[in-house]
Amino acid sequence: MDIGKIWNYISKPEVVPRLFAAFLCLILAIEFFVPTTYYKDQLYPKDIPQSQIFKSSLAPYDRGGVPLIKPADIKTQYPQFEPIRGKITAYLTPLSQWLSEKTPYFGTTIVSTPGGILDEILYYTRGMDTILESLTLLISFMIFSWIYLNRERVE
Amino acid sequence: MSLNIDSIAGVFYGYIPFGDIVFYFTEFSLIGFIIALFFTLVVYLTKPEKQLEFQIGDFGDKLNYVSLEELKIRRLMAIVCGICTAFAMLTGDLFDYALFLAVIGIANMGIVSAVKKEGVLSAAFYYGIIAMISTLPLFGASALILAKTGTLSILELAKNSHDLLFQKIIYAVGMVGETGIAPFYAAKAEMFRAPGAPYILMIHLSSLLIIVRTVEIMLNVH
Amino acid sequence: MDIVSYMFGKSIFVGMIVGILSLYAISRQKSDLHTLLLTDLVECAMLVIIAAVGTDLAEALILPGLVVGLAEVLAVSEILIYRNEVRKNNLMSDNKKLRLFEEFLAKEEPYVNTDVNFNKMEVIYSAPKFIGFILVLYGAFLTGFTGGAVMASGLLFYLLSQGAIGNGVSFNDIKHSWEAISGFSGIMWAFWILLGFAGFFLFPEHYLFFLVITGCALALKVGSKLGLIGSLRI
Repeated sequence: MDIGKIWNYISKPEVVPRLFAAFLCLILAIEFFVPTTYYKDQLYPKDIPQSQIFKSSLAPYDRGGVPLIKPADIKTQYPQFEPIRGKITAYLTPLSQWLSEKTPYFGTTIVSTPGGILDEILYYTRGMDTILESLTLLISFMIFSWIYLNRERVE
Repeated sequence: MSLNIDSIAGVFYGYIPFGDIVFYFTEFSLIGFIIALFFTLVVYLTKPEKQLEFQIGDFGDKLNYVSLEELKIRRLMAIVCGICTAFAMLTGDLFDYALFLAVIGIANMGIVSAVKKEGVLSAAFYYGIIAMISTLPLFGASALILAKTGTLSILELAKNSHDLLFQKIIYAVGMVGETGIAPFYAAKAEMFRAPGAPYILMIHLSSLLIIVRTVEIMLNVH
Repeated sequence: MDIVSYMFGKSIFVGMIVGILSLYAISRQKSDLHTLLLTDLVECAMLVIIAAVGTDLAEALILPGLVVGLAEVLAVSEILIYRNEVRKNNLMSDNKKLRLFEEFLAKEEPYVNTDVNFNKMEVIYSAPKFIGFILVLYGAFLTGFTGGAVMASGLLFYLLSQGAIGNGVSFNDIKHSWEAISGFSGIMWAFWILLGFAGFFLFPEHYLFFLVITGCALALKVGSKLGLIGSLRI
């Protein structure tokens, strides 16, 4: 086969995603022959699943600590750079504190109120990730709205 | 856990800690950082080029120029792309680096897609498809590395040997899809006669720096 | 042997199967729209692999992965619509306006029994307001990224339903307020970085103040931004 024809074929923009997907398919198939191992001593460990149900109203996100008094004990990568480690995890807003006394199911929604383990990770210890994540949304929204609002523009 | 600075290639000049994510300076990353910032400044100050198109079999030449609104959005995207490239040189965390790549990819798409021409928009669309596909190898490889070694920090991963060959391969493939393939589509856009030189050049520069930086990370992580 | 490491290998296996099958489908696909839809499936595989790690860190890493996928779908689908419009204009130069996400709507209008008088259905007028109000309140209570998304879905639902009964906002009306609302959203983003994120590291003793600022600014940013999409209907 003529190599010029192959070059011409892969120079079309619409062919490259298909070729890339097929190539990725082959690469990922190697995974089945590579042994997957799991390192036991992970950062930010979770409790055993279902072990906190009905023992704490913040289940399954109860990581210990008392709001504003005692910081929770969490395992981070570099504790020396984090002077307030665990304090955000332990914090609960007054409203959510009141709710958590009323119901044993408050843990299902604590992940997104201010305070809690996920807020500690997302805002503080890995805050740079969240900045980039919202920057991605911001930029894609810019592209979207620019194209949308300038549709009637003529060259 | 103390910060491991011995196993990193090159002279270690300093670090900026943001919690778990540590930005560090070595000879290599500092040079890449300065180059990226310098070119961002160049893009900010330069006016875009204009093209004169000959009409074959017809009279009169056609002037291609960049209108003011289009200039503004493309310059903004090029600046975002440049700043993100600069900070991607410094970051010391695999997942953070993957997110930087995602931002650069989407900013590249923005630079290309502001042109109202069918071929250019087509190139932007197919580039977007590849960028979306390659989030699987990129973020998936970071997750596999986290599971296997228990850390995401490049400084910690450089300390011991972990046998990460397969994970490194798919991480590199993800990088290729997310930003490495961008010059191909940028060249396509140029071929379709899209004006605006410094902005398209930003795509080439960022992709070049990112490829070199990924190689450096892959050599450090072992 | 604990449950997470027991399930890890199996979850990775499932994620890889999903990824490989959808990638294979993309490699055989000729239609642009179907390719776009299938890439969403690839992102699901990515989320499965991240979730397999099973720590709090993995749970926090899912959110960036999800948002990156969402953002790229938003931008790429708009580029596809615009490309098709330009292509159509090139083929025949009549200027027909397109609706938002037209690719996803049915091409042929299905037969509707027009004898039904929608104006007499009270629930169409009252329910969207109520549901939107509840969702916005709940989003304000949650704060943060999730709260913003809940708030935005309330706004989205309300505005889309207003469009469905014919009270939609016209293009000329939205064009002026659009810039203002998206500018507000961008300012909130900068506000969060300068006051929220930097504050944690500069003044760690006032962390509570910065935590509340961070949560509220993120909620307002995401909520106002995504809510805008609902008002797009021509």
